[in-house]
Amino acid sequence: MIELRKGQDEVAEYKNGYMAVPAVPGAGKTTVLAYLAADLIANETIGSGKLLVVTYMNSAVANFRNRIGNYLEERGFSRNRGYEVRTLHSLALNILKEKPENILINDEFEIIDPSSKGRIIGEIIDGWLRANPKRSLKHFSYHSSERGYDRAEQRWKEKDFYKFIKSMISYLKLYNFNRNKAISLKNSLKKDSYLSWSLEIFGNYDRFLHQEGMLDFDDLIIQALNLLKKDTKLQNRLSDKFTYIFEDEAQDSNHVLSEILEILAGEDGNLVRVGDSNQSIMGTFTSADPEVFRSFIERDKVTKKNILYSSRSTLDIINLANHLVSWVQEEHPVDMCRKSLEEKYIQPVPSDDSAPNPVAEDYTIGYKTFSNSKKEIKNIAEQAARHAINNPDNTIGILVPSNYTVDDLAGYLSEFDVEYEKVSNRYKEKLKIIKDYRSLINFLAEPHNNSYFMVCLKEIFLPNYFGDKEINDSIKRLFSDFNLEDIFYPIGGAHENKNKISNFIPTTYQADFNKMINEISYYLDASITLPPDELLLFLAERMELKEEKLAVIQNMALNIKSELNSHPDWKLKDIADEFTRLQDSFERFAKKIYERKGFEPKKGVITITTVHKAKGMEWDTVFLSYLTDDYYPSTIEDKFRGEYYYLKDEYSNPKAMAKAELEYYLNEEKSKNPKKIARIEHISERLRLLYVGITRAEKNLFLSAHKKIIYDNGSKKVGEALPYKILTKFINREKEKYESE
Amino acid sequence: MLKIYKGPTGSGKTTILKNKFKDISLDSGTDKNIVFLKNAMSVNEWRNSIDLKYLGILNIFTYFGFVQKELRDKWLHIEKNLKGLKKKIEPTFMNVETAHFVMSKYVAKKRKNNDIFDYINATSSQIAVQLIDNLNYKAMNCLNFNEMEKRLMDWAYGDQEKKDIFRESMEIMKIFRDFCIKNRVVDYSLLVDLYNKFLLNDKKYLSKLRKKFNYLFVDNLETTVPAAQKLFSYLNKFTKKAYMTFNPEAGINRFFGGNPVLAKKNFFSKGEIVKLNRSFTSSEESRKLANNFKERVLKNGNKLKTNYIKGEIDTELRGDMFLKTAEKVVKLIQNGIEPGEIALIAPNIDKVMEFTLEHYFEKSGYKTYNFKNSKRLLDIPFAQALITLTLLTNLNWNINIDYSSLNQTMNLLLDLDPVRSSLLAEEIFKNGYILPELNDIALRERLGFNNSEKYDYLRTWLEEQKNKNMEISHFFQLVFGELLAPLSPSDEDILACRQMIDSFKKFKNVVESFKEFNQKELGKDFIEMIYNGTIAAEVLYQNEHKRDEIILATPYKFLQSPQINSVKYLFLLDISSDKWLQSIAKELSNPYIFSPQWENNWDDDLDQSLRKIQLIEFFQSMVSKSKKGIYINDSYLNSRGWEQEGKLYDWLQFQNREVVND
Repeated sequence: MIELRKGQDEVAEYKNGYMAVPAVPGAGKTTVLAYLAADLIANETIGSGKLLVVTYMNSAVANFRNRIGNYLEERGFSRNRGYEVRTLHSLALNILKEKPENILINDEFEIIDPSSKGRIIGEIIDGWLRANPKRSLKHFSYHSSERGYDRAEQRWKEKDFYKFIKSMISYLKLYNFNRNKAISLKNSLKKDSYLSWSLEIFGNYDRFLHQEGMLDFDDLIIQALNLLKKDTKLQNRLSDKFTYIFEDEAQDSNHVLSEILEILAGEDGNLVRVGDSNQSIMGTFTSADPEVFRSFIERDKVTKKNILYSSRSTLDIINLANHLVSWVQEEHPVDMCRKSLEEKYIQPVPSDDSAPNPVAEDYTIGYKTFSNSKKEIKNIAEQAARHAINNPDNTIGILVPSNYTVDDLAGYLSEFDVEYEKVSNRYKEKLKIIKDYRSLINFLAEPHNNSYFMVCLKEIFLPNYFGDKEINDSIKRLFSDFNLEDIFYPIGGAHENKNKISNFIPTTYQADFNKMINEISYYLDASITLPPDELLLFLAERMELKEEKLAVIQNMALNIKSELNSHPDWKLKDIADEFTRLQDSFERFAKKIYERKGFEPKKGVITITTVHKAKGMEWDTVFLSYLTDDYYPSTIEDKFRGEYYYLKDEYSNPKAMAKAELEYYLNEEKSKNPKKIARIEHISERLRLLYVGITRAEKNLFLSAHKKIIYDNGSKKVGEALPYKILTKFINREKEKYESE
Repeated sequence: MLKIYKGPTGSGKTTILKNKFKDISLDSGTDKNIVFLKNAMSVNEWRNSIDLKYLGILNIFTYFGFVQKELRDKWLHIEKNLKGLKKKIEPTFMNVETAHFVMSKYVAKKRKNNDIFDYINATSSQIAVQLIDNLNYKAMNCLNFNEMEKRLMDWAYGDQEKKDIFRESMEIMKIFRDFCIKNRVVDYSLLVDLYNKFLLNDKKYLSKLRKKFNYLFVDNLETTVPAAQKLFSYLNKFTKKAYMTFNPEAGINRFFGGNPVLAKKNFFSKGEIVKLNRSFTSSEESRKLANNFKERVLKNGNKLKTNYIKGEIDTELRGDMFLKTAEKVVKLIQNGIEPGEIALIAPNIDKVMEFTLEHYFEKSGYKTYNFKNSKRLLDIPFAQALITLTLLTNLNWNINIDYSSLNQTMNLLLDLDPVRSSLLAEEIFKNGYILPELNDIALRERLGFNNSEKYDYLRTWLEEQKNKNMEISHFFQLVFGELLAPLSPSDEDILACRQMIDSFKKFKNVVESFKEFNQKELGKDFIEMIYNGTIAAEVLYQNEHKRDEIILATPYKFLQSPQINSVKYLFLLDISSDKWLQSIAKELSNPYIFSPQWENNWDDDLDQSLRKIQLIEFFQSMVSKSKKGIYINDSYLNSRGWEQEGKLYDWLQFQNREVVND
């Protein structure tokens, strides 16, 4: 039976009503929520309804199901009864599927994944830019004759404009815009306002989706809310169904989801929201708004139960994280950023706790500033490698700000004899099945094509042979001396083949080789008679795929079947040609399937990840790097990402301007300085990112920065981030204390 | 005198009806008997089961079959009443496929002009299907356009967006109807409207009709639409005897307009009700479960108490569920159950399910009888060859010839291996779809002497056909006779080629009636329509079910099939899929609002209650076609990776369950 800590025990006593549970990193939120869920189910407090847990990551879904299931089983109940665990999108989809017709959506709607969405928006933007060549350059600070203009124009049209519009489309959806509403607002705006452009392109995109019967992920959520709002009887039915609702990671919620959950819970219902506003770092990428959870906590009818005890880190690391909070609260140079981290201090668990905080013999937090970024990551790689070799029982994480740095770091690490793993790449091996099938389809669609065949040979059929240079060369010679038809279908019959092969392939390998030739002949014959979707299933069966791999191919087959339904004239070659477009959705499914198993850092293996992706993870030793004012700005005057150098100063942040303009039309509140507000939001989120980075460490933490960043084609001077400076001072003081003791 | 045999599935109603028919036919012949059955399959089955010695004229129809025959026979009378200059001596009947196609064209055209259907998230084809459905519901419920519009507006209630869209829908449906009347092309809805308006209101016709039949037989009265019931009511008044059957648990035709409630109202008070309680196709336990399930769903009662659910397979991934299900099925067979005594039922049979189960059974030495045994016509190489060759001889149509189709056709016609046919396909492709001389491309040796000779023959043959301007159906016949028939086609291949030829003829027939369509490029239009999936998309090749075949079917097909009386074990698959509990309402159409029961109210309670009743009736009927037990099978994730939480899963939870997930 689980032993609950202080804070957790109070949460576990919950019986009904609205409750907010602000928690600190490592507080055991999942444990206590799962325990509480199981308790309410086992005691039949949930009545005839169900308990719903909403979370944001697929891995968290599996984790919750597993834990609730375990607790229920321990108490002699069925593992799967009485509750549902949903991601946000899955919940929205289920609500919408109840009766899409009620909001004029056909029940066979197609959900487009982010990559298809990106492609459609890209095509619509291209059309818009072609129709408005001059208008889109209206706010350029460069004259067309100036040096650098071409590069700036290219960047704007091919990258930045697209990014801006894409995020505005999501934003407009969140505010329930449809095409007509967009057109009517656009007509009242100046032609050259960023919002006006966004609305025009939004209108075209929205129309396209409507005519094609498609919904994107934003639609799922907003339309689920629209449906609930429109149909009070549906609201009541679903409220009766979900007698209890738990939301995990509530700091990542937004106003739409919040409204959905409150409708489902009902005014007198049971809603528990657990989160940590200090870990709200998704605002840049998603519509997450930490204010939603904050204001929920403040409401009168909401009971507040903090969980401030955490056994994750050593006391020194806890003190460092707490110091960051107090500095931000009291001394941050920008007043409006002082609320970015809430005054919520982590407390270590009592020493007699069954799982106490780790204890270090020494002061195990260090830092260093390097002359440039290259030196920094090289040194971090060396240190991490050494640490891994000397401490094989430790898990190690290196946290960097961007994926580019992840790759650079991996380059350095590969020089050492240590294992490392990129979080962004953790599915690479699992996704290989998709790549392999792509190679197979390419070959089977054009089976006379030698180069397609060689890829299959190397990657799928005989990967081991290619390690041996001698056999590798023999195989290559065999297939360059003979045409594929002579190998697979020799006119003179099978014995003719035997002779050919024996001249090239050593005797010990010949049986295997002939077996492979036979197997491929099966594939080839099937490729002529079977439609592409069935061919995939046939191949999976021949290859004896099981479990997740089989699920991935089955999903591919169903997706391809949908494509064939939309394009009845398509055959295998068309599928091969379209594979790039479809691949993202295949991979998305595969990741989802594998994500259920979660990610556990392995001992002695170095994990490299961006700080964003590190959320929810923890390591014995953490290297937190690139703590410069470029990535972690602290004053309004610092340089900001999201602002484009080639636009006139007052127009340099299109998203901030368009959002502010929209805000004005929605609420009639004119934002005085949208650019400044965007900067404050950015500084605040970066402070929370730093906090998340620090609190990933259990025993050892190393902070680093550099003074010059080196790019492939140049370099730039940068400064140490202000919070880094503050933390290093604190570290020095603490270290001195240790030394004096 | 009317007698209604009322009883659940398997109570012997149809057998009684058939015996009555036989007795009366033995006595006075078949000519004066008229029989109405629920579908064409049943009509065939009934006709085939009639012994030759009774044989006179067999008046055995579906309602629509009867109305169509009457309309054709009395067309000149109807023509007199129709407006327009384009008089015809017989109408052109339009099947649903073509009606959808024509309607889709209207919708797409209107949408392109950007003036309608702004708020709907649906493709033009999805909209078209619903507008055709609406016209059918209107006709089947004997409503006129004004009543139809009023009902749609009442359904929209205070929703202005919906009202606007319904107005737009009405406009398009009316245009479609005018278009059909003008061109004398009759779809299902017009068929029923014309029959009701001009024949069922015509004294002369009615007087002949009542003299024509002495005995009326209606099977599955609960599935009949109000317009059919109107006809039966009339016939019932004048026939000597009428026999009907009614299944109180099987209103499974609601989506198609069937109205069991109205049927009760129309007929129950007018005759003798004979209750049949004994069930020949179920067991005591299965009937008990059928009744318990109703309680469970309607009253949200306790978990089912039953021994009839023999096991549950519950997996995380869907593929694993299929494998475990297949293992269990094979185990039952190995323990002595005949394969044909096992039915696997799922609300949606997709390719993955079909493939995984069929292949598993095949490897274990068993066959599957798949009710959804349809294939895309273009997936059958013989049918594809007809199209590829047509395109190779009509390059001026500028229709792209797919590389893989070319490969497939060369493979088939020249009996090549896939590598050599691909090689050839590439050369043809590079040569602008003109078959090159092999010596010019130095391929003779690689193809082999025999193959090259066959290629040369094909090349010359194709050259000869170019510029002949042959009608496409004649060209198909020529290709089949000269090139394909010698290749020993299977029954399925022959059927596919025949369907292609018939399909073109039907298409030509309809399109020739519409002068708005370009008549010059019929062949090109036909192939384009096949390529964009509008017509002739699927071929159905179905033998009779044999006892050594495991059944795979949707609930509807399982229940509607006159071939399957009863099985021993039922496996219900994907029980947490939301497809088990689907609404009959769509965004533009809703059979309920056109029915006589409509009381200007449509809300979630009513919607849910209709869904539940429908599920209960499906479940009860399915279970009543089984005798030994059921297995419930499910996976947490569907094949798209979404969690499934449909209600059937909860309702089928039972006490004392044995989970077969080891």
